[in-house]
Amino acid sequence: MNTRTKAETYRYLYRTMKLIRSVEERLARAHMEGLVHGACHTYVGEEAIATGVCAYLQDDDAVFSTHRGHGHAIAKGVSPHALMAELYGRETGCSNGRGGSMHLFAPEIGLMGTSGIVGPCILQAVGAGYAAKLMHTERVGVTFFGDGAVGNGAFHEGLNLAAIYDLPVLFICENNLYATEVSFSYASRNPSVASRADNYGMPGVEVDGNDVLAVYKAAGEAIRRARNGEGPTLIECKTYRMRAHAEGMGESGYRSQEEIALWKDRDPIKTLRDRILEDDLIATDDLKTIEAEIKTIVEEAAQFAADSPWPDGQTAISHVYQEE
Amino acid sequence: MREITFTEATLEALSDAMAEDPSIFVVGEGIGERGGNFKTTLGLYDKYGPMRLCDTPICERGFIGMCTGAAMAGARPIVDFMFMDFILDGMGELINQTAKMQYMSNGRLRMPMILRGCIGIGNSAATHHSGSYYPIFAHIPGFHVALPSNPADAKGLFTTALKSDDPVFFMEHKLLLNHKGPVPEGEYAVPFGQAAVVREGTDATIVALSVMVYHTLEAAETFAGEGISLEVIDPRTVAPLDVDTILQSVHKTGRLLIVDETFMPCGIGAEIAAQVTARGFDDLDAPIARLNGAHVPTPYSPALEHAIVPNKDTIIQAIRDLLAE
Amino acid sequence: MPYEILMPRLGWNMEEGTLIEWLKQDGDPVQSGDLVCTIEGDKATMEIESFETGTLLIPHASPALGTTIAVGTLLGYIVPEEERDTFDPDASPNADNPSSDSQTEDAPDQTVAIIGAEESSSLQKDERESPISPRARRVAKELDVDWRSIQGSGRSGRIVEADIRKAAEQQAPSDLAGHKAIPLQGLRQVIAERMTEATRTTAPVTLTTEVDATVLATVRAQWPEDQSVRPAYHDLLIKIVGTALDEHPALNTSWHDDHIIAHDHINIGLAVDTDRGLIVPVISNVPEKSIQEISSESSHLIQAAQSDSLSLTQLQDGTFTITNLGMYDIDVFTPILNLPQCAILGVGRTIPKVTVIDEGTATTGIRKMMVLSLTFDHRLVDGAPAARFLQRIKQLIETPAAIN
Repeated sequence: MNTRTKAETYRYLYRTMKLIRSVEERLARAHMEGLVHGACHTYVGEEAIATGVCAYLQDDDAVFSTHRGHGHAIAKGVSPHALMAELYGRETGCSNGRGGSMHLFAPEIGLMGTSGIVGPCILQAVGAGYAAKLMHTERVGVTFFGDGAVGNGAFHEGLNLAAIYDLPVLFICENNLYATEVSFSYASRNPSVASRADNYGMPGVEVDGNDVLAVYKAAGEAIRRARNGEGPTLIECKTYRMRAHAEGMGESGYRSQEEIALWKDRDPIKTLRDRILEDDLIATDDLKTIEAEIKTIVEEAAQFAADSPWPDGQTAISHVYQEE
Repeated sequence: MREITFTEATLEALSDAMAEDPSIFVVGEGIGERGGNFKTTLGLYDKYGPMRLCDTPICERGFIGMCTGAAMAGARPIVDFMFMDFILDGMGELINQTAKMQYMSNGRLRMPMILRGCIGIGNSAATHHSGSYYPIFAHIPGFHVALPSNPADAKGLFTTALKSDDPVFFMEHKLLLNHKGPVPEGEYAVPFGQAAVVREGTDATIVALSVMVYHTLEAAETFAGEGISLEVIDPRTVAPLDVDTILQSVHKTGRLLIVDETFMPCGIGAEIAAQVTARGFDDLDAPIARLNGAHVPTPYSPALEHAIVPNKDTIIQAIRDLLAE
Repeated sequence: MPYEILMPRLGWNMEEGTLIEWLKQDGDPVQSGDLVCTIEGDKATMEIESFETGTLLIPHASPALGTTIAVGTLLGYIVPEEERDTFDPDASPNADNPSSDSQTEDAPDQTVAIIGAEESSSLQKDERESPISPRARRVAKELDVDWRSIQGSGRSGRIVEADIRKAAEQQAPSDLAGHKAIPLQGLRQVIAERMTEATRTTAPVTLTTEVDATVLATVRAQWPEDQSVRPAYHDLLIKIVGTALDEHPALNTSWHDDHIIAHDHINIGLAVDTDRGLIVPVISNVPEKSIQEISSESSHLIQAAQSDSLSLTQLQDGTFTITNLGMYDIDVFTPILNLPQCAILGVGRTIPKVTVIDEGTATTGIRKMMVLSLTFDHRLVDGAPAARFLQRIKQLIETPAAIN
């Protein structure tokens, strides 16, 4: 239930986005230093979406996400410490070192897993919605996926199932215009993701994914509907990723400098900051305090991760099956 | 003891479990009002309604993924595929998600999911309705695979599957579904990983899977008439696989044949042979033999279908060859 | 804290890179987000952006443009404004080392032998003519059959178990034919070992004497009725032997390695035949016990021996042993020493015999005669003392009033 005042809401949204941004930048740096192994897909530029949607979610609402899931993890409540330690491969990570960037788990607070495969998270969120309806709870299932998932069978089957069973599910498409280097305009003849909701008989909404207040509003309505038994919603958030698809990959020229600069101007954190100052809801000094706090937290988190122990190799074979 | 069919036996276990646990629900094509193509859910829709007997569109990947998510969120789904062949559309969900979820979450998420369907060659069902594929699932860490050969084991293994928090493949051979056999009343469980010695003997050990158990027992009768005593073992589950019972038997007999309808390369027989060779080498009086279905997709014509699957006569010949080694 | 610009790792397994050019110069101000240098990695060339705001300082030891350097090498610093005056890039410890202490910490090598190692085959690589199955090889070893010249009945001449078993039956030598091998274990094994040791290590001599036991028999027959149990012959003998040992302590000794132990007490063991073998329970302190006490104790001990319920203490500390084969019609025998005891008395059967009562008057009569066979260890005692001891026993048997 959202019982925050406007100022509290703005503070919360700003803080969450700033935290995600800072963690992601710190992780990008750590990846270059060799502390993060394997792949690292950062969420820089898309913070408004995770923040705006997860602002409404409780611990027992289930979030399913993809390879670009750090933002969802932070927004859902995973600490920067646990996130960074996980990417550093340490025992103290949110997946105990088992998952890394693409397999983040914190089911105790509803982060049911990010995934290295495109598509399954959509179906699993439908399943969480089914379980909620079966067991008569008010929980919702939320899935975050990119434009690249829209051409995948899981999108079609998942939306269809959620619609025919009237399930409490939010389908959040983070359309950042590219799936790795494949543009959405190439991968689809229908440039509107939101319009696809009509095929399944559910509401589809398009929002500016870099305007956290717009996302917040649309998500709020969709969650209200879901909890009320009115079924699923598809929300297309138009956004842009400011860094490469994965750390260490170059731009390779598939995105022009002009395009990147254009979106940089629409930075979601800057947008909210300007709005806050305009509405005079929070003082500049307060914002600075938040920013300084976040900086400290992130540095502590990085140190925590670097100092954390490696998992014991002997534990690598446990939990394949349910253990007594 | 009363005799009921294989399907009636599992239906009994399912119905009782659903009465006790409201989080159990069944998902599949035709399993709702119709009661299932093979009557696997007969009568349950009227008792429990559409949320718990959920008819689906034809989207195996979709509803496998959905059930995986539902299990993660605390429900206990049963996916009824009708024909196991249809499960292949969902391999990505099964292997990358369902099988791995407990491991990736370090045990914090459970995966109490049953994947059931009929398997096997027979009745000219042809190549898209005759698959078994259980060696593939037995190969993947995270799965259990049960393969009952008779109604009593079917009920007992299904009960174990219903109580398990791991994903379980429950493979029901199409030629066994209407097969009748004695089935105890009330609840009982047959544990996974416990083979059954269905016939005791001294001259050779024959391990048989699913419907092959019957053909093998018939072959053993023939040999008994010649004074040759065969021990027949039904593993009942191939993951976990009870090799200890097989080893004890080979220690006694010295000779081993594995009869399995599925393909020979990389199959269950290959696994058993490798383990017995490694752990029971000094008990072997002859090389381990395997008799499998032909390594071909399943043809339609009865003449062709008959040629590619083991039967009593080919089993007898394989045993003769083994004894002559 | 100044931020270090290090040679970044751009690809997953990139280990070296090249600094192509600086996009900002030493001393230039840098804003967060500005591009500072161009790096060529193994797959691509990338411009590196700074996350920090401050001044770019490039130490003298920073790598030259165009050189290939290891990932993690220090290139420069972004120094925040407040530290600009105090920070010296060349004085920093890292300035002298081309590659700074890399934070890249490798995961410890913890390769776990997760896959259960399968038991390796114990098959020896023998040269062989015919192939042999592993099972047949094992059975051949068990039955001690040399399989090398056996004709195999298996496919391609393989020797199989049945061939080995057949060969084992035929191979059995004739003196073993019909015999059953009984494994040596338990009491039998102990006795076997003891007897062998006795014969091997001692110097046994057996003396025999014929004794007139007529009076002893009478004493026994006339034992007062009001006593609980009539003593058996062996009880009387135990008492007699105990008395004799008391007078002849040289026979109440034991051999221990290189010295002789003279015992304080006289503990006499009575050999009892059980279905498990020979067992010798011990009656301790014989001279201090009455015949009734000895009798009571011995009957308990015999019963316990028969029912295998003797305690260890009841079998220990014997100093002399009596063994009786008279009930089996044995007259004379050569009992083996019960190590480490000095001597053992064998008792033969008591049988009525015609003997000379008085040589002068040529009177003969029938007397109950029995032979005693005393084996002693000549290492501990000589013939004459042993003979005197035996003679004393004879005397006591023939004049039992002397005992008790």
